[in-house]
Amino acid sequence: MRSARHHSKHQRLVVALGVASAAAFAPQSAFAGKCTIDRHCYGDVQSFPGRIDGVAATITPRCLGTGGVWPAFVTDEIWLTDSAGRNWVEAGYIQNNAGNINGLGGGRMAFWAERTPRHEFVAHGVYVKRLTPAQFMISAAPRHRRYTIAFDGHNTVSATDPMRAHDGIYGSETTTRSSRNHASWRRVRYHGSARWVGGVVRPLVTLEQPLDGNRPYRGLRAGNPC
Amino acid sequence: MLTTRCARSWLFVTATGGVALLVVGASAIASPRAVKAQRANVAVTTASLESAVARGVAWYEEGSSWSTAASPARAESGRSGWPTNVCSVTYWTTNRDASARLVNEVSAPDNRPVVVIVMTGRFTVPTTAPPPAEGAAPRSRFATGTTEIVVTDARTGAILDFKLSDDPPPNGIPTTPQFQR
Repeated sequence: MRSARHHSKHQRLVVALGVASAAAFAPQSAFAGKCTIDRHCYGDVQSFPGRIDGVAATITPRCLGTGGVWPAFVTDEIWLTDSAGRNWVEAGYIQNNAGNINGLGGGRMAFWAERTPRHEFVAHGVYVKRLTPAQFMISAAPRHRRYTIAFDGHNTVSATDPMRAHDGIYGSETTTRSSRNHASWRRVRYHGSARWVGGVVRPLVTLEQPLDGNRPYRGLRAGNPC
Repeated sequence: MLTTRCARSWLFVTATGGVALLVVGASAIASPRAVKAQRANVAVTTASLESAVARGVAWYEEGSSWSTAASPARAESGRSGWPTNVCSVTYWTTNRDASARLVNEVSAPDNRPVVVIVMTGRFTVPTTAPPPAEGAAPRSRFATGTTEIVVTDARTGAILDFKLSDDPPPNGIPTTPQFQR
């Protein structure tokens, strides 16, 4: 069953895709001036396969930066969320010049974080000197209500997290229109019915940041050219 | 200025499984930049420990200064040196693998020496988050809680792991609070 996430718009430009085409999206002016530390902006694709307990993609960030705006951050990442979007597990790259976003220090890092139904927020950072393509994967450990997070040779398992996954999201989040970020996501996949499947199901797109991609979204790009 | 109401006592279960009831006195207040390491089970100097804690304080104060809409209060340092929304601070050195369970990990990605800082009080931290569900009001971009756990690299002070929740301080803390109001 599709959740309330599907039925109306609120400060978001959401486009349901009906046709296959190359370069499906053009940069959107809606991005300009609306993104702040209190009001984040997105260029992302949401996937609703029905049954989902994992997401994965190879993320290649380019010139991940905030353009000197302070406080600000920009991410290239993947999310696995519950039906209300209140709880989630996320993993990806972040450029953070704001100090304690997610409780972590400033700088450029790979990270994973989760918000659990027990009202916990946790985050973990792996500081990186260079931006390199890396496969990020979030998957539920069967029967244990835990999530395995893997990226760039790092593997970790969350403590018990009772979140019931509902959809996967691939894309970028930022707080500043001055961000410099033009990342790509390749090998976009989800895990459902005990197997990994390429692409996105019933895609729902947020275009507050420039975003382009092709059905079935095995690959996409987000951010400003740099 | 908002002053957090602090509990007068906390129940801690020690690392050896014993139970200690800590009664707080005013004499417990000490500057975070002047505190001494009470326990060191890895090769970390007192100076680097103090540096890591001081960096943690600076990190916290920086965030509080620009977290606007949902921030409970700007961090106002009293004579203790700790912001008034902080009720207690406990820190110790250990290895990252041993600290993993405190920050919701079954195991850590490495086992480097770390400083674990546990603060109680009232905290707000800006977060990343997925886009809001359709039709829903924009989600708060801040997490709130009463217990904050920060794991920093003992040598560099870099913050590696973070947890914010409404849970009481975790069991197994191997030392008593270095600061409590």
